[in-house]
Amino acid sequence: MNLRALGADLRAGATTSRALTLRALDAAEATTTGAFLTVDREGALAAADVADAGLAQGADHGPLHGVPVAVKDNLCTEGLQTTCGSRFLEGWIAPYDATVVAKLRAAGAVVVGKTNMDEFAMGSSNENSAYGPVRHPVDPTRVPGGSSGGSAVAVASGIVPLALGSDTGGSVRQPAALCGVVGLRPTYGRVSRSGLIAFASSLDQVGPVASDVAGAAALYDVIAGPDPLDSTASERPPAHALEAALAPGTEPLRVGLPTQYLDGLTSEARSVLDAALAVPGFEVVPVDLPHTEYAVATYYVLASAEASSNLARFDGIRYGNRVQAEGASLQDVYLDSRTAGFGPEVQRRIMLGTFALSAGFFEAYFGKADRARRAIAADFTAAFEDVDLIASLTSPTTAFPLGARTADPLAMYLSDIFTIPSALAGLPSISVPVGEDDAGLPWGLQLTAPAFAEAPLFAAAARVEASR
Amino acid sequence: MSVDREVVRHVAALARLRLSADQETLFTRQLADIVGYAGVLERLPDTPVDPADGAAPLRTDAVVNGDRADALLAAAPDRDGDRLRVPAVLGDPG
Amino acid sequence: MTWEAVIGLEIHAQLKTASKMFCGCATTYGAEPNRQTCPVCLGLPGSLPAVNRRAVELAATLGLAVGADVHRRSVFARKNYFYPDLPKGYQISQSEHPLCTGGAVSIATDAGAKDVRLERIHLEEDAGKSSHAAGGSLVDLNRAGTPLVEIVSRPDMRSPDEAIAYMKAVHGLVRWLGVSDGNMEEGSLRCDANVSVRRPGEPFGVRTELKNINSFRYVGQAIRYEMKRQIAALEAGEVLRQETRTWDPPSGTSVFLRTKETSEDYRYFPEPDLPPLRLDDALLDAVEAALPELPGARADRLVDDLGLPPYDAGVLTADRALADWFEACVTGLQGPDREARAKLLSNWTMGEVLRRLKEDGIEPADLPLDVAGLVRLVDLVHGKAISHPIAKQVFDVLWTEGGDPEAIVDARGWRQVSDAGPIDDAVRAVIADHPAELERYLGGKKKLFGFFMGRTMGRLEGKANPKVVTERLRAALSDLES
Repeated sequence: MNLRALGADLRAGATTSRALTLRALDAAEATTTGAFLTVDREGALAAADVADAGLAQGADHGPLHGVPVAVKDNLCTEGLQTTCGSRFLEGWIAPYDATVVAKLRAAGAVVVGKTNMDEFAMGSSNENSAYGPVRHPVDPTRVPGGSSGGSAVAVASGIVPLALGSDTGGSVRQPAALCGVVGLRPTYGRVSRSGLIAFASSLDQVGPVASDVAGAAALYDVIAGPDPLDSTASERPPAHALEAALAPGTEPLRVGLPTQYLDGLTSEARSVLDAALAVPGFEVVPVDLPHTEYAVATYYVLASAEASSNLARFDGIRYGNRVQAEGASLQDVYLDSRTAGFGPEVQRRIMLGTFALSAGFFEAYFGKADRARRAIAADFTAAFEDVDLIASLTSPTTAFPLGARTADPLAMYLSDIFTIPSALAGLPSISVPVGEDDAGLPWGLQLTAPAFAEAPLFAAAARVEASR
Repeated sequence: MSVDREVVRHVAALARLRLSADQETLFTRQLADIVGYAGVLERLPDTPVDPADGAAPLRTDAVVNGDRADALLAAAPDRDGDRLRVPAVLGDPG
Repeated sequence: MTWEAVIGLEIHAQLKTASKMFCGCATTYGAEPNRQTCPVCLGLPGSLPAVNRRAVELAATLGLAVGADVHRRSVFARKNYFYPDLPKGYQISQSEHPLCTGGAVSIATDAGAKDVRLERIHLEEDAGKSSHAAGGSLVDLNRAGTPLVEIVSRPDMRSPDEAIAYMKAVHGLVRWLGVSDGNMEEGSLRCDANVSVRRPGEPFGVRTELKNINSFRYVGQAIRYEMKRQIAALEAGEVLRQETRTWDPPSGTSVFLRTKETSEDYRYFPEPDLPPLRLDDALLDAVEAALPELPGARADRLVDDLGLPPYDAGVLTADRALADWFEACVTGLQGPDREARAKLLSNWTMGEVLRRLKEDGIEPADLPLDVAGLVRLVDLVHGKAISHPIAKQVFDVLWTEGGDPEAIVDARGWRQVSDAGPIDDAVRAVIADHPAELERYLGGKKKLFGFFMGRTMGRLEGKANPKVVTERLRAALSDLES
């Protein structure tokens, strides 16, 4: 199911938005993967009918017009439950649309439902949802990756051709890689975060998930752009990605392979990587990103610190599930609501973040991590003076079994070793499917470009896709 | 910088999380592991850091009256009319 | 064994903007609870702050007016703590890189003018309000997100009176500049004090933070109480601990809240949702151009140009609207005796005008009195065309109805009587009516002169020239003595 084919069918009259939407709704409700938390039959069909009427009158809003899409459950959708995969927000109806959701609607897309995710986007396996894990579409005993596991599975299972996820340290790219779909993390500030329930403010970005590069580019074009509601969103007008994806060209590209990312790769992983980069016109050269060793620690300190502050608003006072026993004091309400509402990973990261910010530890942890982050960004800037793109596997392994890493949080954190550095540097980064292992589990290739170079990034991704 | 039970208790209190004794034990071990791992940051030299760049956009001072108070307060767990109700607030804030 | 106080004040002033610091909600006082709210100031999930330009301009204005360094780059920071009136669980403030550092505010002391130096001025957002109710507290978030400047002085004050003078000076300045209403009853100006005591010349002692002192009177009372408390403790050999106390007006005491050790760790870090605040040339130029003449300079001009006493100049420049109004009055003063007439105008402004403003509950900005009208009234008094009591009545008419003073006087026949004829008649009649008092006066009770004066003035309906009456009465009575 790819976007272009659907678009062509809709315009040729071979199908209707209502038909596509019905199929998506049925599949969303029937799936045993756990991908969806909310399916909005009524709202989706109403939107589909509007889309069909529009097309009939020649009001064509573009490639997403009439197309069913799924939205990760940390994006506010007006009138629909928005949980962030957490008990705290169970039953919370968002009173407004996230900017990206409003843009989807304006483009004529049909939001069929909200996808499951690691709670508050904290996780790399979608096993941290309060509503049960998401399962891999190929092998249900395995994880789909996280935290946008639901969105990746919704696309990989063919329920919808497009979905929105969010990426903080790899949460769009890694599940896309594990599930065999395309996922982009845009340049920091390229897409508005207004209405994205924050995990780590200086790292979060909304990103498209699609079955192919062109689909991801079309979705990116709809969501990218300035927003006065988000002071960290760039005012630069975005370049047109779909155009670049559809006409990628053949010019030679220098692709850097960071030597630091090659340590510890299995030989199978290494040969997948080498084969993936055998693309006409790609010249692969080594690059040096010397501060890579600090990346995971830096990420977990900074992201947890920001998260510990961002999640303080979940106090049970104005919204969310308040736990107030008879005779409870105000402090009891805070303690009981938060303890009941947040799962163990969220609590762990809040603790880590609070620790990193607290008096006596701030300089050693937050201060150092802030420094390390800039050093990591400077590594990329230096590398991009020599190469056009930087490549790696998105994830060091294919999908791992459910429960395999849950006992050791640190082991789980190390799954993000390739996706974290570009997130810390704020750079656009895409994962493209590049084959499967013997068990049929997908591998993903990650390409990273300089800031705001999404158009050439999509072009390069299209070339990788075409070379398969 | 070690993470011991006392530190975990103090941090949990700051974060308004109520940990059981078992959780305290678990978190003490796990956080000690993670923080120990983060000790790699100590190797980074203390070179001076350039101040962050970028500029906050400045918004025109105009009232945008959404008049959506009802919708926004609808999710309040406990209200008395239009005010939010909470157990008695003792003392002043921090 | 003399002790001196060492006092610093932290003043929070709400900025006079239409909308809040980080969102477009209105900042009007007294709205229905929780009506002036939106996802941003309610701290709803997914909401983000957007900086109010006007708030930045007003804060920069204040910084320039006090001679501070107004930094082109400053950084917002999160101050993290849990409280029901703090929707996000953190306040967006400024920590390591505030908008302004340095500057000073001049106060008048017994020993002359003194500069109270400022540590810093920074921008932040206000919290909501909680009120007590049966079995709990009720929270109204209308005020949450209102723009504030926090003005932190250095511990330069040495007495409660200096603290009061400083607070009054800041209050007057923010109102003068139009930066804040400075309305302490409505909470748009709030004050915390840091107080310690020491023997002169010794290092600073352990300080107490005093909260909830939101009137000039309480500032004085609270600091005096605190000084007594600290001195008593130190003289008894106790060691003071650094603590926070709250002023309790009903008991006239300060109540312990917490020690520094048990105070919250705010975990300040730079606000990741906001890039650094930058003031560009356009903004700074506009702010400088709009900076009004400061009250001190205005007062100096009144003294230099018009010879007014410094006391008068101070009263007349305490309020911007009043000062502008007075300026308009004296601008219209042409001709001779300018300084004498200016002094009369000053007396009338400080006296009758301020009195009526207070009685009628009107702000100087809404003064109903016509400038030209008061000037003509003052000239009538200066030229002795009317008596002072009559002038007051003319003033009342001008205040409530307006009009031309001369016309009012003539219409009511209020011209001052200075002719000897009618005055002598009145004197004779009064003396004839009061034989008993006359006898006592002639018998030595000279104080009864005032009695005869009062009766004569009354008989002449207050229209008589008092000097002439005094002369004629004295003449008549001394005739009778001989």
